[in-house]
Amino acid sequence: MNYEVIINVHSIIPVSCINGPGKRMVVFFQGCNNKCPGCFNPDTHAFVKKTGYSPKSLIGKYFRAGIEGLTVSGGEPFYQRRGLLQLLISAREDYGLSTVVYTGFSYERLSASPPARAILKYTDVLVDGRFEIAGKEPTMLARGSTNQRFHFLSDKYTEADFVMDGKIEMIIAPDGTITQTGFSKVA
Amino acid sequence: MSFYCVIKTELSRKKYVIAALAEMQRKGEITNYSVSQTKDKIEVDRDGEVVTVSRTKEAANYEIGGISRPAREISDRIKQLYAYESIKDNLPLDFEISKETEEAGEIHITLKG
Ligand code: SF4
Repeated sequence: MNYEVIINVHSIIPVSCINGPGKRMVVFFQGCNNKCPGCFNPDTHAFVKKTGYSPKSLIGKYFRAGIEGLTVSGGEPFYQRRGLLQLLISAREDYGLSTVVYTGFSYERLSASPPARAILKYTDVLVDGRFEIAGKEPTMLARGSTNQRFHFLSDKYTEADFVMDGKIEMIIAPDGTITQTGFSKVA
Repeated sequence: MSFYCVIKTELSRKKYVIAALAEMQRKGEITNYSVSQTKDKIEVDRDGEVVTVSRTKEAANYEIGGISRPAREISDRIKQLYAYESIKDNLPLDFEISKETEEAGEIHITLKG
């Protein structure tokens, strides 16, 4: 049976310059059970219905010319494996975007699971590991804590590409709405 | 996972409203603005289209009045530049701006800290 997958999404940033190399669309998945103390996004934890998108309609709606990639964050993207896979396939094949996925699971654990391995095939860079508040990343590397690892699953990027211009990005929309994102926050 | 939050901008402080209007005038987006000496009110002129920025009491936010299209356009731009001015003015001491860009109508500010 062929039915459409719907991704439960917490939020989307059409263009961010701090969530990985270059300008990127960022999709925050809803739902996470990992309970990392001090997590930046507790609002994304509950497994409640937020906004549903089919993978293709999501990228189609928020795509802006000039972006080089898609970053998937959350929440925990691997709790919605089918949607995640289709989103990454569409990003790569329909739009030519590079793909970066943040996850609280370890690469080893994901590699042991056939459905997760299928997702890794469409992932250029996986940033794995739970957030550890005691080991907060002090440099401009695009990760929350130093235990998290960058896995370069294609030859598209190296660690140097994940050194950002800053820790925080404020995006002020034409109507004055401010979106704050990054690997630290202004209190 | 990176941090994500959204903040709606309200026009609560006169100094940032005026800073936003001054910037709009400098960029030629409005013709002129005049601040009333007696009321909490600013008149904004954009090529003959006049809108007002006012509030009835000090605890309230400023609201934009006038013909709906210019009022909405001017209101949005004031809010955007108000947000920009207030972010710059209220940065904690341990943060500094490392990059600023304006593209597709959005202002991106990157902070080191
Ligand atoms: S895995 Fe990510 S979203 Fe989940 S609790 Fe940890 S840091 Fe937060």
